[in-house]
Amino acid sequence: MKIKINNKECVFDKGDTLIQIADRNGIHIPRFCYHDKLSIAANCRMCLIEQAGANKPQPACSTPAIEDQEYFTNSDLALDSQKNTMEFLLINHPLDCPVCDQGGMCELQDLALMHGRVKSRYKEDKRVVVDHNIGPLIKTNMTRCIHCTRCVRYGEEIAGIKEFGSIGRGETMEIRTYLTSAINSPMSGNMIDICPVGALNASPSHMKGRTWELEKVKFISNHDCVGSNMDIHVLENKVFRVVPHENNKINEIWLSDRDRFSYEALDHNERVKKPTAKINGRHTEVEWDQAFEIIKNNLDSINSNDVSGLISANSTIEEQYLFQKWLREMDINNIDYRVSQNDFRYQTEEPFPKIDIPIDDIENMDSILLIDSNITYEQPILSHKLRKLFLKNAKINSIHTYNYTYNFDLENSILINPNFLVDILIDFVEYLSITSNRKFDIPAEIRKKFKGNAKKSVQEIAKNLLAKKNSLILLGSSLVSHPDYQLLKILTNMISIMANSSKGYLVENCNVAGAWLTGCMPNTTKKISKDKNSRFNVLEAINNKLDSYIIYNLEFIDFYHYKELKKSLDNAKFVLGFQSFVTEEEKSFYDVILPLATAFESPGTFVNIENEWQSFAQGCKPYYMSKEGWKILTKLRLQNGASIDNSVDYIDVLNEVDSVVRNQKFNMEEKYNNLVIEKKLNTGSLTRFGGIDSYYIDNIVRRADSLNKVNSKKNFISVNKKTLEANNIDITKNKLIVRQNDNTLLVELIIDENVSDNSVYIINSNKEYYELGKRYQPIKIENV
Amino acid sequence: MKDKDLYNIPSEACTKINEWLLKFPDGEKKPAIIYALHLIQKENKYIKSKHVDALANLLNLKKIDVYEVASFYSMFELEKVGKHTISVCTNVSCMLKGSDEILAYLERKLKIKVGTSSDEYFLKDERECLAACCGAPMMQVDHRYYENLTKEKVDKIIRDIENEK
Ligand code: SF4
Ligand code: FES
Ligand code: FES
Repeated sequence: MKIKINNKECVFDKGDTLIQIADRNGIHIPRFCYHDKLSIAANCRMCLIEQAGANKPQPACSTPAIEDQEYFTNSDLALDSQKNTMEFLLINHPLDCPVCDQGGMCELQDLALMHGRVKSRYKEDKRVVVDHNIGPLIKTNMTRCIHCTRCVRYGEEIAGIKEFGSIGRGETMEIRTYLTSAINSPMSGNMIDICPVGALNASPSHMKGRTWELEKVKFISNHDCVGSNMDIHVLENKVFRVVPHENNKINEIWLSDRDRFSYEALDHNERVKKPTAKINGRHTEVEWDQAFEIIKNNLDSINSNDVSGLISANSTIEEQYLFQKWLREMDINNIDYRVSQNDFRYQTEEPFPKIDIPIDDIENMDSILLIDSNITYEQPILSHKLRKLFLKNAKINSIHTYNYTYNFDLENSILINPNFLVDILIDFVEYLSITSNRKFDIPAEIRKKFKGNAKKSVQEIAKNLLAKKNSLILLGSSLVSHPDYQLLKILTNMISIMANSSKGYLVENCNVAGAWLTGCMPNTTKKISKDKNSRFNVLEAINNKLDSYIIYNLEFIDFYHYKELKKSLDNAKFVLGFQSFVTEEEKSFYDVILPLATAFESPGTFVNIENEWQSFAQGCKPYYMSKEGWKILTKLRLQNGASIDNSVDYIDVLNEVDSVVRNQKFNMEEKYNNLVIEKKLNTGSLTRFGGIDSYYIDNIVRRADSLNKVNSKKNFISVNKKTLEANNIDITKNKLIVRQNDNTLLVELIIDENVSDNSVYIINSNKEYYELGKRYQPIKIENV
Repeated sequence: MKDKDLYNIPSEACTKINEWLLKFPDGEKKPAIIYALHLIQKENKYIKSKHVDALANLLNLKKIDVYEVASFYSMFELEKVGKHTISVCTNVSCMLKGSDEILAYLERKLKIKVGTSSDEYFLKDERECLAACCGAPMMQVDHRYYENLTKEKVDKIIRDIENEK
């Protein structure tokens, strides 16, 4: 079908609105309330255009095109209507652009320039709106609001948590939250971007710089396994703010709050400024060369089998590659990245941490099974994809240990104590082995556990997976620390095969895939290492109390075996840290600390959960004397006599990683020989469980000031009533004592029916919880 | 939240709300908001935040959804009001026939400003036409219409209310 806009012939499909057609054909139509990701509100009237023969102008955003009609966006009628609308919009808008953060990137400013009158005829008083505190991330200036309701629709439609509403009407209408509630969505920052004026501003960068002074560098998110694309805006060599970079395959135009505001940590006072070394028991600042010498002398004097190198799965693939290369060149083979993992069975066949389908394909699924995934807070962008599915009527099911808050509704859900997660997955396997026509050779060990009475809800979910053509099973990222993690992965794999579903193992860090690919673990593929001896994984390395530990970009609380690690470090002869941040306490454990540039300050590559390699350039210069990881590691290799060209550049490193790792055929199939199905988690008593607070997940977000003000930092635990009664807890008091081994903590009690029976839910949001003990371990609760 | 801040919608009202919902497509909860707010206001005179909370809970909506509706319509009172609500129509026909004087007279007589309330009376001006232009100027007292108002008539209406007590 065809229409003409400004005499240009445009083709369209039935139902297309005029604004869509014009956008496709590069014809400009001004707009405020229209946004292609949101529903149509047609309340600003900025998009009025002329239809030949019609007696009044039409709003292009809500008017479907009519075949063979002629439209004009720049006729006298159209221009005049736009001018008039603009005049009305400006009646109540304060003309405070010089002190408005949006100035220079403001849709209202731009359109007023293009479509407004030079002078306003309005002489009366303007409306003033009182601002309310809606939390630490968004600073409002509601007097500037033009009531386009984009933010309201965003909450309702995209975030799935309606928080803003239009209160009152007419002249007294205000956009605000209910009474005094704060914004809570983990994707709230996107409202700042879609607000066409300066009513919603990013709080951390509020009034600190002007748009035209900024430089922009593309960057990849470093806090979850999704790999959202973003732009960092740099002012005077500092990250000034972060905004999404459109990538329709991954994050579309959205960004999670965690990715948007984590940069605030970059000048935290715990940043490491200079290399330091322990000299006579005290940390002293040293020069880089001096530090390198100390490292060489110490490592040379220690048996390479007595050294362990542990690297973060949040470091870039270049660093991971060079790290293991540097160590393996010194014949140090006890290397691992799986520091939060607790189950190392079948480790020679550690499956590739990957989702079987591309992220944008999630939108085409029609049935989902989540296994203990707090996805809305842990991977907000994936959760957004699930929300889209939900709105398209796909069925989302969940088996979980806590009734997490999702931004979609569940079709079926099973609440289960973490001790029984394995059992319920075995029930699935059993039920599918009967109902599915896709046969799978189920190991006898698993068959032995069949009980012959799968719950109704298990049957429902299994049927749902079987009935749908495109189904996906996602294993939650906090399960990485589950004592039966490997077992859970195996069972998930079996279920996915029998149910003909795709599967994904979600992980907590942004470059787990990179660490896996570059062989940052013991007994890795022959392509990376020729070493045939059996080597220590992180758990064995800690338990064997080695002479030396090299810790790269990790804090102690990143380790599942936090306390054991501290003991082993205390015992070791030489502990080396490559760190961007270090606390006073942790500092004392190290013999040498090298100041490491964060990912923001270094070029690099992250490999996300769909095995997509995304490289980014250096955002800003490293903090003080810190250096990019690839540079430090290259220096260290040079010092050991590696034959590297002295002028080696970042690109050379990337090319090397690329040629060694990317084009190798890794065996990504999962094979399980000698499978022993033996549940490790069986506390037989009250069990502590719960993931890490999404704003406490890595060394950067942990220090991002504003993000950490979003959630209350008070110590609390959640337990359901039945469990409390069974443990004789006086529920009239709101405090109680929790005990793990010899450690106790006074906490606030939240009686919460979202918790499964016989377990204590703790969101790990500060160090005290780690001092108390580990997740998935027995815990006691006592009256004060 | 303290117990006294909680409000339970009476079961009778819940039944009515559920019946009302049957008139709308499955799963559509929003159409019940206005109806339910009327029921709550009838019982409680005005709508407090605990009522909004309770209703949002009952309908499984966000509080802001309910609050948007409650704050939009002028027939819902969100602040404490007196026993009797007097709404004087001030739309065009009534205005031409002298509603301003009636309003001013009531303000003096009841010793309250329009838009405010004493323990006894809540006086407001109705911005929308109340569809009784033929009897302009008019006012509504507790949802009853009184037309062709004069000062004397107003005196009598107020006297009748007082006597009823
Ligand atoms: S705050 Fe911004 S996005 Fe929200 S209604 Fe006002 S102008 Fe629109
Ligand atoms: S953009 Fe069309 S009415 Fe707002
Ligand atoms: S203008 Fe008052 S009833 Fe119509």
